[in-house]
Amino acid sequence: MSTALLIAIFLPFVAAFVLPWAGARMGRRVHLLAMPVPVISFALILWTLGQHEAGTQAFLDVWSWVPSLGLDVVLLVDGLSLFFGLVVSGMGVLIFWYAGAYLDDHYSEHNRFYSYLLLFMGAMLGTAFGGNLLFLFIFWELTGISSFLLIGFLYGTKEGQSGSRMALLTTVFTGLVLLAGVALLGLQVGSWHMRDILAADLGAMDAGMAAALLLLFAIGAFGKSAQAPFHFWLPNAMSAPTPVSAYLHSATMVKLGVFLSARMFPVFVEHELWAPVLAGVGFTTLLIGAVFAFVSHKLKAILAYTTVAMLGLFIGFYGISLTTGARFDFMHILNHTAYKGALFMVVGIIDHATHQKYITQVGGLWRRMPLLGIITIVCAASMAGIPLTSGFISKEYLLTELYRFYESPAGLPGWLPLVFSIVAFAFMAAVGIRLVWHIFFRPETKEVTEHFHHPGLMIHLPPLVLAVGTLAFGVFPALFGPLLHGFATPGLQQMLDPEYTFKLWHGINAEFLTSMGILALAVPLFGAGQALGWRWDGIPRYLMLDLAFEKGVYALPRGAARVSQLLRAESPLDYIPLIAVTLSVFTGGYLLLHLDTLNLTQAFAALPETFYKQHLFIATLITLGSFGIVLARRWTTQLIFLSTVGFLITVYFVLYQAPDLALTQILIEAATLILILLILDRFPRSIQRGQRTIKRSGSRKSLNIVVSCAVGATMFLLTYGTILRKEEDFIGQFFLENTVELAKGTNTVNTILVDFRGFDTLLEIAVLLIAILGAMGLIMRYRRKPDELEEAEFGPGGFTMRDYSEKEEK
Amino acid sequence: MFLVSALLVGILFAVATYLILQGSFVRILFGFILIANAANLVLLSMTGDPRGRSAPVVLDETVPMADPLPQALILTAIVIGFAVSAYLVFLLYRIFLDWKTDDALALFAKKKPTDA
Repeated sequence: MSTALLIAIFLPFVAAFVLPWAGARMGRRVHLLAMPVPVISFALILWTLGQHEAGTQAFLDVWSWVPSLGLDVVLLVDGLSLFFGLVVSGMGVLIFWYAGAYLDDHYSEHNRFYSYLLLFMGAMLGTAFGGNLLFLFIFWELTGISSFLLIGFLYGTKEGQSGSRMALLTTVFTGLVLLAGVALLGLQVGSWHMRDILAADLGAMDAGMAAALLLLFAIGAFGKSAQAPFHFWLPNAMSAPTPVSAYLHSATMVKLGVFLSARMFPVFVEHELWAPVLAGVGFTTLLIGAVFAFVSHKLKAILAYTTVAMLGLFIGFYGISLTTGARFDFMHILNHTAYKGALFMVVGIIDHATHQKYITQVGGLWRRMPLLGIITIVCAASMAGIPLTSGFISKEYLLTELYRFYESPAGLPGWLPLVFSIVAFAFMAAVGIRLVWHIFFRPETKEVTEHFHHPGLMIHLPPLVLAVGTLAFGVFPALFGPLLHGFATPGLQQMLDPEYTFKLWHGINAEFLTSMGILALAVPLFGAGQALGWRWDGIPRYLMLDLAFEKGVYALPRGAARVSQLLRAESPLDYIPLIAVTLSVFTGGYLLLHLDTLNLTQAFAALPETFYKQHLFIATLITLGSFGIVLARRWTTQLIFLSTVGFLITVYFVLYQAPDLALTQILIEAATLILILLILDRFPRSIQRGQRTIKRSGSRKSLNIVVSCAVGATMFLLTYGTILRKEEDFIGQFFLENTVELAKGTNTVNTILVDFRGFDTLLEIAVLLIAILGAMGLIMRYRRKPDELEEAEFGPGGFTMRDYSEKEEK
Repeated sequence: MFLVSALLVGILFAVATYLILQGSFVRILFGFILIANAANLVLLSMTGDPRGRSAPVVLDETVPMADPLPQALILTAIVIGFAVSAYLVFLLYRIFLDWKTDDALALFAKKKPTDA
């Protein structure tokens, strides 16, 4: 069983990577290569369904992928995963068939398209069967990435670019939120294995944690399923080729939010926020989507908004379900998948045949394409919920659930889902009537007359299959009852009587009357639209969140530029005082708060008795020397003062019993002095005298003085505080005790450098080397100017600098 | 003793910061060299009170010795400080060759090297 499922999930991935090469020269016929993959996956999952015992859950531990993270490849086989697996692979078969006819020679790079599509299918199957929450999440994000690639398949178009970016940003952002939820839940439970996750007890957790988990998961689901306020990305994702819209953005991927709600149903359903969050957002989205669909004119946008609406309904449906389990949820989902998938394909065929994308531009197609008309009528009737279609039966059962919730509400007002649904259903029914009437039965438009060419029979087959299914379910619902029992999922659904099956006729009851009432409402709605001539510009601009989103996307870099301007990133000079101030405020401030522990007054009072004459003398000299650097104007004078300070520090080292340091300091100080003298000599005299330096303003000067004094005070306190805490048994004791024995040397500083910490010294030499190379590069790579070249052909760049600059001064 | 060292460190840091805050690259260079020295003194003062201790050369186990570890660290720091300041000296020279200025303000006011 696990082998079959693994093949079903990973075969699409393998094929996705093979196809670009294998099909490079096949053009549109590459779909013949891709076609077997969904068929095989479908057959294997069907076989698994046969092996699976209804109403149970099986966890197949396949492989421990990253044990340190608890990320294992675990397959979860239950009704839910099998149902979604079959929907994904089954729709996959139809879509691959349809795409083969749809993507004609007008498109290029067919192999890339099918490769992405297979990648997506594999990701979907991985999500559906994921038995480890992390594993599931990885595939969840993969679906988002492959969706991005597919929406942006026509990356040359503006719609393709902005649509794919919007879809990616929205789903990835909400995906991150979901990741937080996944991580937190796993940490709370102690494992990401679904067996433990599904058994998680929210009641035992911290109340805030439980609520946070629910919200994190809900936001993840809402983003993927385009629920308000994320509903705007789905219509924009419709810039993809129609097979993609039908497959990803109607039938499968956008249902992942519904899937997640169902998957986590056993964990969260008893939480008090479950009903208000899911049902509140879901039914609101249902209403928004239905109204937006009614006012839109672009064919794909109309279908996209009805899809958004139905997704809202499904998520809301789980929200109002009894805590003991949902009822008939799969039937509703299957119904929607069938008719909406078919309608998308119909729109694609119309686009293909007439090159028109707006409902206002097509008409009178009945005469030209009667078969397509029949398919559309059946599917639109299902959307409107007219008897003898699956939509009618689905609506009957939905209304039963809504009335039950109306009578015993929990978490939010009982009337809200019912009223929202009735209004939304009426709008969607009106949309259905409009689709049929405008596309097929009004007089033919001139756009159609000009562009029409018949699309061929092959492309009609997939929507025909779906329409026949819709009709069959609507007429003979009893036949489909056993199917439902096969997908029973523990924890998610109430266990039904095994004999129970769907019925077409429940008698004249509240549900039937409401259903008829909805249809009666739809007619005047449609009539109102007709009376107004549908003359409006789609959705009002201020309600279009996608425009705001795009604006935000473009505002981001501009805002970043403004922030970096504010931080003065391009003028490093202003950073030095900033760093100094930060140091003095934070470190110095901390030390000031703990000033009393330093006993400073006592130390100053005791100074005359404890001071050490040599120290004080040398320190005074060094201080005077350093003041000299500040006060001197000429570079040479400054340098002499600087060297004086350096040499005096040598004496300080001696006083501190550090002969090696004193030696090194003398050598280095001498080298520095010689080096700087040599270079300084090359500069023009005027600069050496400090005459070319720009004068700073008085206020800047005093700021500099204040900042410098603050840094000095901070360092004084820091150093003094550190010395006071000197431990008696210092680390160096180890080296003192072991230097003779281990390093065979008596000078401990030497043995530390060349023996104990030999690698440090090695790297120190490397630093010297790098500095030399860098300095050489600076000089050797200098491109000499013509007059410099004239004066001396050899030697390093700028060798004649002094003469040159003297000349310049004259 | 401690106090004198700490005060010296504070003064050197104040002077070095003041130099670095100036516009002239030469003063920034001198400030950098001074700050390297001051940082060495911070480390040095951590060896504790040197009185009554001998240099860390093990000749007689009974005499208390100064902590050799800060000294080893300072020795490394002196050499690396020299390497960096030597690099800065050459960088300063190169900046002047390209830009004909040693003033940071003037440098950032200009947009590209002057072509004579």
